[in-house]
Amino acid sequence: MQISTNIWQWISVACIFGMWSLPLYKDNPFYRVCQNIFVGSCAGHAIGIAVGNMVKYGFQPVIQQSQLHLIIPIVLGILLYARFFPSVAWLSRWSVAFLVGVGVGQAIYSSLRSQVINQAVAAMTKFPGETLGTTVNNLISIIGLLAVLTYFLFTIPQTRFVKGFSQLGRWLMMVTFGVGFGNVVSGRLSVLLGELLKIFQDWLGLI
Amino acid sequence: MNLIDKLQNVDTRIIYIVLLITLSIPLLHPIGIPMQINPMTRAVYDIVEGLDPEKDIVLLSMDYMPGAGLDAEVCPIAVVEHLMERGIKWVAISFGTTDGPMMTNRIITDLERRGYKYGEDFANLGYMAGGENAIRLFALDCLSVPTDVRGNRTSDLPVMQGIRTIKDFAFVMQFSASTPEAWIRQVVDPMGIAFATGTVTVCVPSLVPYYNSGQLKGVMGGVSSAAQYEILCNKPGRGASMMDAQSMGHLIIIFFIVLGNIGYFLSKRTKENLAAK
Amino acid sequence: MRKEVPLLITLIVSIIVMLSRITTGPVPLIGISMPELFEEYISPWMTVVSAFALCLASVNLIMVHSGNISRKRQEWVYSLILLVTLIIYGAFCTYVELNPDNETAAANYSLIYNYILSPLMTGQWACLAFYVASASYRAFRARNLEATVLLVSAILVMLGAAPVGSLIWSKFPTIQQWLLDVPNMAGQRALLIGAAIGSFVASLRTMLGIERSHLGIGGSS
Repeated sequence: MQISTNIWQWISVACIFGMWSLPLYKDNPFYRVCQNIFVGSCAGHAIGIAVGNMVKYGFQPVIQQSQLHLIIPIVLGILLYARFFPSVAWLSRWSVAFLVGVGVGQAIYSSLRSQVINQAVAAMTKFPGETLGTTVNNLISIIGLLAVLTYFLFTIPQTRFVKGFSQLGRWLMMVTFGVGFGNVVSGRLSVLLGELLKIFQDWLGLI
Repeated sequence: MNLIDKLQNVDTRIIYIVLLITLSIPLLHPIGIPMQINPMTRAVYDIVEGLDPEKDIVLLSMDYMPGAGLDAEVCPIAVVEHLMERGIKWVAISFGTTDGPMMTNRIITDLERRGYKYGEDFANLGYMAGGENAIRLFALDCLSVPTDVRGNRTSDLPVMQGIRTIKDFAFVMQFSASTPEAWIRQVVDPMGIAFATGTVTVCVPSLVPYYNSGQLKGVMGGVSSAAQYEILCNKPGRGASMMDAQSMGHLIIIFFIVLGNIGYFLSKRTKENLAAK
Repeated sequence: MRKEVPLLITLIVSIIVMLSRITTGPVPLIGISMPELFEEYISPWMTVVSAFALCLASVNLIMVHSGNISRKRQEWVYSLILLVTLIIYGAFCTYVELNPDNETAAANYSLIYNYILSPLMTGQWACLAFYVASASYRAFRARNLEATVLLVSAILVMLGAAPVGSLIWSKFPTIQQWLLDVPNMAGQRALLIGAAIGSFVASLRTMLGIERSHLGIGGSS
């Protein structure tokens, strides 16, 4: 065992234990201090990166390359902060409208193409497969896809066939969520393992 | 309190301590259980193996934050090690999180310590605000990022010579703690580039449709994929060292589920018997 | 005016962005094509406005916690700690961003980032593993057949994903892969398609001004 003599390593481990003191012990001042330092540091880091981007993509091109059209987004960006002043809060709507307009324009075209059309084409063109096993699997996939989509159709008459088919979709979703939960467990354990590795390897020198 | 009640009411802190002990023992004393290689991980390895060190440059979009832990961090480390071993240059940029450049700097600091040259072998272009829009802007004009994190002009960097649009990169890979829909919508489908993703284990099930449709050429999901990648490269690292403990973690969670359900069914039967009487 | 101008901005900008994907030729009376309008103006503007938007949450945080300190509300000391940390990190990171050639400053900022911010964030996220273990024990019950199906598929995936599963039974990894590639893929694809259609409808409603909640005007018309 070779405990680290690096003061930063000790600070790092103290931070980890501070955060773990809530689930392992109970709410305590050490945890509260760590929690508030965490929130403050994340917010401060975001401010720093944001200011860097404002200068790099906004102010510098205006001043150094005379790209005067960028004054418009700089003004729109400043107007975002009008929301903190009740008398002029309505001005922030212009900036939000711009942000939402770009997002909406992107989503209308691209989500239909990439997530509906391409996925539907992939589902249809994979059937039949090269072997019997692949063909059966692809058939199950297509039937499952249609069954789950049927489950979410609330505006069509629930005949015996539709009801039965949507029930099949429900069963399939249970399998999907079960697979998802299995992966969630795996993922969360990995994060904890990473911290344990840091404690045992970097701090205590046991590995 | 009888056994059934005790079975259903174990103190939460005892569960946490049992979990910590179960995970710690295999970390300290690895067992060395062999693992199988996932086809989605092998696909990423094959792409990198097929790149030409003389002319191919890779773009890495580092969109994960430290909170995602080693689950997100081991994948880019494994891939970057493979790229450096093959002598393939790469450029990093971040769109999804302001923490991306700092995560890239961790990898770069280690590489520079080993003698690799910033600007020639790799570069970090920093964070570009705008999300999906920024991805599209960068894809259309890679020089829309004027400077890198060290203040060097992007157009002057040796590794960026000959790069004008995203099609000039041979391969693009995003590392994130979520899903790469923005990349697929804005770049992969409209421009047809070779794209793969490294993400956390949690997101892997939702990416299988994209891999099946060919929109994703490969998927690396968390520590297990990174461990498999390290084994493919014959360089076991942090990922591989965690897999035994991961196995024990899975077994202990299954044990907790079974224990809880045994208690539930026993107490249910007891209540039914009492009601029948 | 206060309602109509933002709705008009949303409509015009979204039409430009949408048409930039579809059209190529110059727009009459304007003389510039939609793709050029998007690449030269709309897209760079979006980057700048997004950069300003990044700070909004932090500014709100400053206002709330400053209020706590000035009014000496309960646990105001923690608000003071938060603000002091915010100022230190904000000032330091801003300096590093504006002076990228100062390697010493960048290295020192990396220290406080990698050894304070990073372990705090990772430690917080690692707590989720504890909560998953506790939830698995307390809440994951096979109350009916559907819950049992969910539970069984979760257990099969966990056994297949970890190397120890192949030691217990060599078929576990195959079963796990099949569950991922066939039923999971079908379900996920359906959810993807459904979500994309929903996103398209919501976007259309927003574009046409039917949905106005994003502007704080209130509900839909």
